[in-house]
Amino acid sequence: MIAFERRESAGWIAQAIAYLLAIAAGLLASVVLITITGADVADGLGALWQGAFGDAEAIGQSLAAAIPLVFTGLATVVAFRAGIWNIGQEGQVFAGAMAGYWMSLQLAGAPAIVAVPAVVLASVAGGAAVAALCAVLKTRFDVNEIISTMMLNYIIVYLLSYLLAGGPWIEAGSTAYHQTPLIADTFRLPELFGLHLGAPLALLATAAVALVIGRTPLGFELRGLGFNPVALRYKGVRVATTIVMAMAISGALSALAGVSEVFGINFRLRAEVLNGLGYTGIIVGMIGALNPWGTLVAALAFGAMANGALYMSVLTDVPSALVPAMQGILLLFVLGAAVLTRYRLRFGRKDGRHG
Amino acid sequence: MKLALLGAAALTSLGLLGGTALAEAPTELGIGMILATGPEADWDATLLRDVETVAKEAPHGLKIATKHVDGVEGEKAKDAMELLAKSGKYQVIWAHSSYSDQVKALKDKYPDVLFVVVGSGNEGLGGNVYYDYKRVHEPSYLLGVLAGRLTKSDTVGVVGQFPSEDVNDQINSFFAGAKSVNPDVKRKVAFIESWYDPAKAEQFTNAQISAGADLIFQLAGSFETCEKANIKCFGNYVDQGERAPASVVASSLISWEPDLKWVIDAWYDHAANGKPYEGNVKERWFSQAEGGSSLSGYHAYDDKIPAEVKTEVKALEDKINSKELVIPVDLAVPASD
Amino acid sequence: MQRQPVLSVRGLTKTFGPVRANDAVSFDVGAGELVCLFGENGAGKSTLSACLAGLHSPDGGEIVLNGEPVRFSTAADAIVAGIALVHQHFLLVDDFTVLENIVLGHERGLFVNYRAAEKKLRALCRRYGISVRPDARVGDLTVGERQWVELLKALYHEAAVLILDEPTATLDLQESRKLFRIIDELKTAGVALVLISHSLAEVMRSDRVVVLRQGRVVGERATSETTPQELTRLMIGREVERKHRGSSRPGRPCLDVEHVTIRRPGGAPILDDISFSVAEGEIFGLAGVAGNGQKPLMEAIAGVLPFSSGRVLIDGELLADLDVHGIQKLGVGHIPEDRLSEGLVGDFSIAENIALGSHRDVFADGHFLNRGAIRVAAAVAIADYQIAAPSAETRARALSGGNAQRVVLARELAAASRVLLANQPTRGLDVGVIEYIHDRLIEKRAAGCAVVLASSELEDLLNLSDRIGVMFQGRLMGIVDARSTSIEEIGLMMAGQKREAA
Repeated sequence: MIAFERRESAGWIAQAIAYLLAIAAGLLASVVLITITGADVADGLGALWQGAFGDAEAIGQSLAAAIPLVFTGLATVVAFRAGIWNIGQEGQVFAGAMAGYWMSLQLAGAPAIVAVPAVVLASVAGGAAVAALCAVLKTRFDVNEIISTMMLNYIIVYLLSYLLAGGPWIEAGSTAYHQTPLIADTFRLPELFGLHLGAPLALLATAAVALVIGRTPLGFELRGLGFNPVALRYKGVRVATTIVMAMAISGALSALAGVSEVFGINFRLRAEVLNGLGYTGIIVGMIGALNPWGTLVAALAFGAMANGALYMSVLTDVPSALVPAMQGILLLFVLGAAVLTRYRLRFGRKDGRHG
Repeated sequence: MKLALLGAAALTSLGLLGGTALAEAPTELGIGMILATGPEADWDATLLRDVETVAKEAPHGLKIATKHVDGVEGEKAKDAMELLAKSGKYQVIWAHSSYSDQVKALKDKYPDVLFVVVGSGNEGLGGNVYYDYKRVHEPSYLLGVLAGRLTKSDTVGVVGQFPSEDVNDQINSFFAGAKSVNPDVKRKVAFIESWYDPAKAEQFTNAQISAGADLIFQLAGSFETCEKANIKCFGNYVDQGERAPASVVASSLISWEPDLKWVIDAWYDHAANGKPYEGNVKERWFSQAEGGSSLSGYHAYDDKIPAEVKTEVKALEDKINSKELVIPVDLAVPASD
Repeated sequence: MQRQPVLSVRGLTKTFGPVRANDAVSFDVGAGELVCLFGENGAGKSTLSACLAGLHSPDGGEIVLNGEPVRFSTAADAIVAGIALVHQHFLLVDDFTVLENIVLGHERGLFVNYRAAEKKLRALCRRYGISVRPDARVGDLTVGERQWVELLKALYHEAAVLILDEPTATLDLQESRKLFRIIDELKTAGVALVLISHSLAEVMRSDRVVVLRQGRVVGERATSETTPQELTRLMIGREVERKHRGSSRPGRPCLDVEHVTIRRPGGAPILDDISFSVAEGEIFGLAGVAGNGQKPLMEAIAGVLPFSSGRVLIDGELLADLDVHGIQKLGVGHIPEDRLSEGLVGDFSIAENIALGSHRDVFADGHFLNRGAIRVAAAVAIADYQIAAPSAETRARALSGGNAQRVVLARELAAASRVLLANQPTRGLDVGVIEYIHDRLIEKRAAGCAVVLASSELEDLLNLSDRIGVMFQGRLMGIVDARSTSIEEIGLMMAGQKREAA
């Protein structure tokens, strides 16, 4: 028998060493892969580094890739810390982007000072509403949130697909495709130091989530909910309300990922630029140990890895099919390290005692 | 042909020498390709196939190197294009999907790079941006003629992905072809509302079979369903008869060779002769006559199709190629009868 | 008992770790005989029935069925051999129909002949006057109806030995009578019956009583030759050391519980018209075998469990419209029965557990937690309640049972300025901690608090309480003065005898 046992805490240095070893092991495995395909290892790893942190431009690109993942990662943190298995980040990203786009249509011609906040607020409201709907289904009708959030992902993604495939939002023209027209300048997130407004928002969101979880009564209840909802009920916490709050916050955070991608970078609403942000956010949150600052670091690492992988596939002879494989291997090792820093493996008979 | 090209290249360089006496004729060309999916998609696989063929032909005596970046969208696609441009190794950047937003941000920064945007969802930016399009309505019309002749139930179906305009034109031509030889033909159209969803494709195919269709134009690729139901079908983009010989009668094929040569010529004129880029604003597509599309062979069905039908289709193909018969591009959303 | 017994248990022993749940238990049941297993909670009745029904395998001794020793490795083996258990905790699949549940696990071959099965089931229902639709989904049935499904399951398989584990616990009076009519019919049909009960009224209807205490058989009596008093004595089995602690001077009434009732659809009420009053400076003990309504009563007063009718007042103020938090703010502390699942958040630190429940008022500062105040409160609690822990940041789950209970105590005694509800506050703790907790309860009484104390330790109740209310099947059987009552009097009430009748 092999059993997993929770550790009290592995300590910062031990955790850092575990993650570094995991990255080293992942790179080693990647080197083996690259060697097998006959590509130049030094070239490949060099490009990876270059893309991740090579120069100011690469760092900017890595950061840009990280921004939406910070939001969806934080969305995961808030829900999972409360013991709510929200896997609807994907749909909530879409819902946020769609609500924001809808608002931009309503306010056509508005000045930026009105337009940008209105779009952000509408989108946050859209993401929060979709997530809160699943929370109400859970608290009122006992519908498992994994199922409801997952199903809603499909519904929302298909709704956008309808709106863009000959539906009311499609761009006019004889060669129209699944995308809206370009979004007017006034609705675009302003740029600061070469990064759009999403970057400071992501930092702010991280600090806010850390503050809410660690320092407020609501965060106290969220954490308690994740550990033992029964004891909370015995002490008068309105568990259903707390679940709805947690989901609404989680959905709002995911929505910000949609806003930053559509209104900060692409300036068109289309499914392709949103795909996968939600699901990746779940992994980012988990690797960040469901800690807001840890999630920020994990998102930055993911952004760097994605950009490094892009550089590698563009600049080197490493077969392009190998790049996602390498990403997967690195991820697997890092996830392994994350598990091992929080649990210890115990061989032999399971002991009945805890702690 | 190769010789002729070489000769032409030599002539143009000679002409240039007589004039400004500066640039040497280039000998190498790098083509970087940005793909939304990768080799697993027919749209991308056909490009990768044809770019290799063209590279082997070495137009203008050029040694052509290629590179493709798969599965990139939006900002990532822009970063990839910029990396390709910055490396100096790629003079032509072929953006094989709707990337004109990203190209727009780069085109003035890299004025000597020739960008190509391909397919729906793009805008013609002019200058160093060329706008390539693909129309397959001509061979689709021929498939329709085959369908009109071969159907016994007088009901033919189409299972499409989305009612988008580059899907609609194929479906409309297909039905036009069928109606032209068999006015009684009833049309059945279904869209699976996805670019890839085998389960739904199967479901919609079965629905059409129940509705009486005995020939189906499979844009969604559910050939096994036809095979199981003992129904004949047609494919598009690549020669699906090679993959599913039991059910596929013929396919409408696309080729990127004329498109690639058009762009390479434009780049060469610019690089060797200093001719300014003149990117097209309205999309350019190569007709069947120009080699942009064609009708596949019949494979296993070669002996099963009546000779007179084969002759008829061949005759129509020639008429289209000689412009005696013009198939209009019809973008309306098709509907069932 | 000249005839060969149908079921014969010989020296059956079952241990769980260091606990001997059954220690060399022997008894016989003959055809057409109703034998009652009688004893307190934890006496080993349920373990014994589980061994007989193949749910546990005994560590020693043997089970002899019709003269043949048998061994069961699964419950299905037991049913095939002819022993059926009507379980106290229903073993039914909610999403299956009644019929499917009944044939479940006993299908022979690949297919089930549902039509034949349904015919047989309908015949059984008619014969015994049980009205349950075979095609009803079990999840939609009431608790009472589920009890009938459990019984039908046993009847369907025509068991030679039928074990009924507290079958009337979820049935109302009328249905309990129906059950005993069925039991009489089964006796006539020659079925050997084992009834597990702690209701004396039911026990007295059996033919023989086997009294269990701490896993051992401490007595066996023909029912006609014994009295409820004798059985109660056997069950409790010890003389209580009476040292009543301190004389209280109860003040004016503080907690009033009036006609509190919690109904349950299709079953006996969970709480049935409970009324009592506790004064300032009084400890009101709640006696009763576990599961007779003490826990829901405490939770109803604390606001955790909503009740169907009746009312609760504190200092004359009606608690209607108040939630747990509002009731706590009136000065009510509640030590729940299960400290680890209900009292504490195991993954919270001691400090966080101290703050739990007051984190939105006492320990909040605007929109934020007042971490300074929490730290101070935790330090004070650790010092005052002698909680042995490395620091206030230690997780509650890392604490021993006694220290964990001290954390609950620290929090709840601080909240309880008027009323303290203590449900089994000393369960599972060692003597030193028990003494400590008792001292604290008495302190609280001295400070003028109205204390409601539920305990399975009769001795503790007798020594600490001023008055004792005894609960049986959701009803308050009577209230006695702790100083003048006897353990027999309480024992009889715990077994369902009204005080007037005793």
